[in-house]
Amino acid sequence: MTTSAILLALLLAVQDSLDERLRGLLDLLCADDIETREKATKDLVALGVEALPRLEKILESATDGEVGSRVKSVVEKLRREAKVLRMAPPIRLVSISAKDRPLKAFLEEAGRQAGVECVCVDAVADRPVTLEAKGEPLLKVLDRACLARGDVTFDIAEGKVRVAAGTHRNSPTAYVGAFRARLKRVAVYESNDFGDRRTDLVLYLHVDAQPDQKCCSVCATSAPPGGGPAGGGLPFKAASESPLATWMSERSGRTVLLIDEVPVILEEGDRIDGIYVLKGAPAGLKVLPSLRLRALYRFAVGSVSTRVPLVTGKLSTESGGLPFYIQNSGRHVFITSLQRVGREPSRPLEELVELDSFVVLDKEGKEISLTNQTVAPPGFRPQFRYQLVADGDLKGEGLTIRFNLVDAVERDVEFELKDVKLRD
Amino acid sequence: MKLLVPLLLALLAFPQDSLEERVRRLVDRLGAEEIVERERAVRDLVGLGEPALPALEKAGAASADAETVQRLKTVVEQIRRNAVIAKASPPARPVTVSAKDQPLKAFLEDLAVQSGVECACVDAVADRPVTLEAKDEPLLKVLDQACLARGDIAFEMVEGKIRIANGTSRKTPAAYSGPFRLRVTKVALQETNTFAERRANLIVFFQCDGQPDQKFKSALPREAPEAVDPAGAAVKLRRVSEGPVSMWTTSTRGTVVVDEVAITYDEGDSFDGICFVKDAPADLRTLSSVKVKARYRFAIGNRPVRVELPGGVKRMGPMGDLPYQIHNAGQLIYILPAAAGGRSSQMGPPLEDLIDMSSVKVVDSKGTDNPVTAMPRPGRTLQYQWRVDRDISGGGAELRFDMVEMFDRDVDFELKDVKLRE
Repeated sequence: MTTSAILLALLLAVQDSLDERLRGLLDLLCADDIETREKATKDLVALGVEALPRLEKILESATDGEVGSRVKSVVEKLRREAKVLRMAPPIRLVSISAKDRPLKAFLEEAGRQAGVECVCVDAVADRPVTLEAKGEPLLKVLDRACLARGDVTFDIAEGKVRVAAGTHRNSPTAYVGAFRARLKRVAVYESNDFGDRRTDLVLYLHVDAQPDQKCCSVCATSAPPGGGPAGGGLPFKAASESPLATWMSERSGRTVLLIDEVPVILEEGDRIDGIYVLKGAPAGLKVLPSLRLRALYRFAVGSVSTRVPLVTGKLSTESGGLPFYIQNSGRHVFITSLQRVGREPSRPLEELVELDSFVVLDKEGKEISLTNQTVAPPGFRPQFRYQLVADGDLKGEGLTIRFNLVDAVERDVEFELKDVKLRD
Repeated sequence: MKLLVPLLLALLAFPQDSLEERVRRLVDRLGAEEIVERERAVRDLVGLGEPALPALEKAGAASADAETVQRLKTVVEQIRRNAVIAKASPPARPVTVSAKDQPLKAFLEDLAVQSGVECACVDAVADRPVTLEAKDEPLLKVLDQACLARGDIAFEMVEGKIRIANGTSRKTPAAYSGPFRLRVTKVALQETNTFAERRANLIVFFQCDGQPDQKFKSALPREAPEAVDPAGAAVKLRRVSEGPVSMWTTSTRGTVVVDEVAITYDEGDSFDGICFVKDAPADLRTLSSVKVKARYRFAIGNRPVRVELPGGVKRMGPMGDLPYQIHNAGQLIYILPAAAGGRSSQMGPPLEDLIDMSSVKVVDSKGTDNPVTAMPRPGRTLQYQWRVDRDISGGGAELRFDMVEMFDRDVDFELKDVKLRE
């Protein structure tokens, strides 16, 4: 028997086994006791997206009875799971043993193993790469390769990795599967007034992911309890959760914040989510043995069209209230976070709703389009107040507002950076 | 003894006669044909000072020559001005002490007698012994040394006197020039590491002050200091006030960003006194010499000024010759720096250094006086806001205030071995 014949037989065996299990579970959907029917439904979902094509076929011929509705719910769940897998495919680790291999070939190999497109500009295609990696995340392999060469760097854009000439930063980095957290920058402020000395630290962390992870938003979610030299926790504060004493923006795109008397400078591309401040750091602190960070990756897997009366008050939907207050001024629609008025914690509206989907309908059903005019300062998300302008009057009775609620899955990832050197 | 009394009387009488005689001779020279001689006579007359004023006034009244009368008038004005200056900024009297376990109170009484400056201490520290040797030193230097030597007392200058109490005196780098003192009150180091490059900015906060008998209105470095490192290489220190300032906050404590360097400042810090080194070399730890030219400004009089308030459709207008502009908002008057629409990259002198803020009033088109109320103004933002009781947006109103007549004293300091970082 040839290898291909063996593979074919194995595949058919799997198919047979799947069909067999499907048949068995579908039979159980007709069982007399509800517990068995419930368990069979759960087991069908557990078969995973591989079973989806068959279940979809079965659904086409299913009757409207309980069995049909149970199959329908299983199909819907598996379709969602399939979308999740498309948006956040499982990590494929990379093992490579390269000795003076041209960069282009190296990237083709790493990309093939990881299932991620990896390219380089022609100018660096022939540069030799020497690297050993065994079962490592792609981003770690690429970071190591760039640092080993010293004259190339990569960025992640438009769904692929692109390597070009440049100097790769030797930033403290942690990898969890397809995800990465890096310390982009450290600022140390020392002041000496000849009576007291004070040292403040600002950490600028950045979280990202392989390009096959189609996350719609990423944010660091909690202050890193950085270990001090003796391993004790240091009370870092998340800039995004701290009261801002001062907030100034330059035309160049830089923003300067004063958080608890510590200046925090947001350069272009910085996000306030990843910035942590430590006021009054221990004298002589040069290394953090451990820096833990939690990040939330969100993947949009669909949206649900929703229509509610346009009345001033809490923004409610059929599936529940949103932590926002909506107000119709006759020409503008303002949507304000309830956090601002101190009632409920909030998250950015764009995580819950597709901001460009808002439309007002008059009582005859005629559409009045709304344009999003919300402006957020650089580095910030427009968390508190959103402004939409209508292309017509928003006066009169019976107005409704339609928008798409985002259906998203979240992945909570915890990183740990080790031996973070803060200064010489 | 019989001879001594007439001799003393003769000596006392001689200067009186001599002064009148000298005034008469110099007044005669005011009419000399040579201009150089006339000018020298003016200078010599001014040099006679206040004692010559009665004789000069008498001579002015008696003279028939118009030019002589005019020159005498100038001389009298100059002598009076000099007298005001001498009161505002009397010459320093250095101090010599040799104290060994001398109680602080007695030590301070001795200093006060020698310097002419009232020096007091709270009862709690009056008996603490002071041991110090000083010869012809400025009073502030002696006080700094005494406080540092003890370690448990500190002094402040309030209400025209020195007051010592419990405390820890800061060992700030300091330089003294006569009655004036320059200190480095704070040094800040900002290090940024992007893991591709490291950058360090150094910020030095200078503060000028003086003995309490020096009645100056402001004391600021007037240009960027000249600094050298231990190898003798020049270090470029730039003043925040020279910009380019891209943004700053409007609070007494806040942040100013100048040429990408974000500097936090405290209440009392002046942008003229904050200097920085952008991208400082990694090995720059000490400045072996820092030369600072400071300007002490003394108010010696006021001059009333009237400025037309913008009104009607024109809401903005100049504030006379001052580097400020007026924005008339009806019942509110805003005074903003003249350059760049009120957001100057150059920090001008604060308005309170230029005018008597308590003298400001608005006279409306009917000639009625309207006092103004200053609204709270945080920090040294060079922006001022006054409230008027009635609407003056219609035009025809005037802003009246007293311009402060200033006398400047330029003082050079040199600080040695200023440690910037460990």
